[in-house]
Amino acid sequence: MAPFAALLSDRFRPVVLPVLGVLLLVLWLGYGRVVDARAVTWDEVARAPEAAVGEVVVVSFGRVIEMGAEGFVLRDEGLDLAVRGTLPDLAPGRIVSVMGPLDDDGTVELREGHVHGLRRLKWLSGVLALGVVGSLVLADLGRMWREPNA
Amino acid sequence: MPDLVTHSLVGYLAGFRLRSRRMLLWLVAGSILPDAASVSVLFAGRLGHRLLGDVVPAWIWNGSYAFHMPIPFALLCWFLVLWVPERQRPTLLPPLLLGGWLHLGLDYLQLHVGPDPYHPFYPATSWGWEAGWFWTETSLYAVPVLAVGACGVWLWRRS
Repeated sequence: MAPFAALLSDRFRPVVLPVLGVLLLVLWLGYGRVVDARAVTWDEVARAPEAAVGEVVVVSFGRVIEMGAEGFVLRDEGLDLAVRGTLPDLAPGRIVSVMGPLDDDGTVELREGHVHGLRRLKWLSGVLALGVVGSLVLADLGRMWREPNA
Repeated sequence: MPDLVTHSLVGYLAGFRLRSRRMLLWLVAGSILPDAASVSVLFAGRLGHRLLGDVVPAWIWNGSYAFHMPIPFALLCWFLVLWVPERQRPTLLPPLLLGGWLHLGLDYLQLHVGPDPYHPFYPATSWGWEAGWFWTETSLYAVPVLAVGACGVWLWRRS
C-alpha cells in the first residue's frame, strides 16, 4: 500500500500531476488517430470523394429524411447520403446506423444497418443521471474541502 | 453506450455492501464518468463542428473517446483524485475506478454497426472488440427492474 499511497500524496503531486496531464493528452490525441484510421465516415467521403469510391462507409446515428422505392436518404453532419436497401421499421425522422460500400454514383449499398429506438428516453436518462449524480458529487466535494479531515 | 441511468443503477447495486456512503457515491460517479469524460466532449465537438466548421479537426474531438478505454480511464481517475484533499484520495480512487470499469464492462457487451468501437487494451494495441449482445438502446428496457432493485437496496441500507 505504501507506494500506492505515495503516488497519491501531496509530496509527489507536483511531479505526478504534470506527468499525468501530458500522458492523458498524448493518449487523447493518439486515440484520435486510431479512430481516424478505423473506418471511412460519410463526411470524410464528402470531403474527398475520389478516395472513397468502393470503400466501406459507416454512418452512425444519421437521421432518415426521405424514403424511396429502392432505399432511403439520411442526413449526417449536415450532409445527405442516399442508401440502397431497407431496414425494418424505417420511417422519416428515425435515427439509423448503416454500413456498406460506396458506389461511384454517391450511393451506399446497405450491407448492415440498425434503426435506433428510444432516442429521447436515452437523452433524458443521460440528463437525469448527470444532473442527480453530478449534484451529489459536487455537494460531497464541497463537504470534503470544508472538512478535509472528516 | 447503455443509458446513464442504467449505468448509475448498476453501479449502485454493485456497491450495495459498501458501508461508506461516500465510497458508494463515488462508485456511482465512476459508473458515469467514462461517458461524462468522453461522450460529452464528442457531443461538444459535433456542436462546434456545426457552428464553426472545421476549426478543430474531427479526429481531435474523437480522441476524447480514449477515456472510454480501461487504461487511459484509470490514469484519468488518478489525475482527478489528485485535486481532492490528500486524506480523501485513497478512499475515492478505488470506487471511482471500479465504477468506471463496471461501466466499460457493460458497454463492451453492446452491438454497433461498423467496426468494433472499443479498444480494451489501448494504448498497448488498437485491437477492437465488443461482445455484440444488445443494441445501444436496449438497456433502457432493464431500467424498471434495476430501479426496483435499487429501491430495495436503499431501504435495506437505511434499516
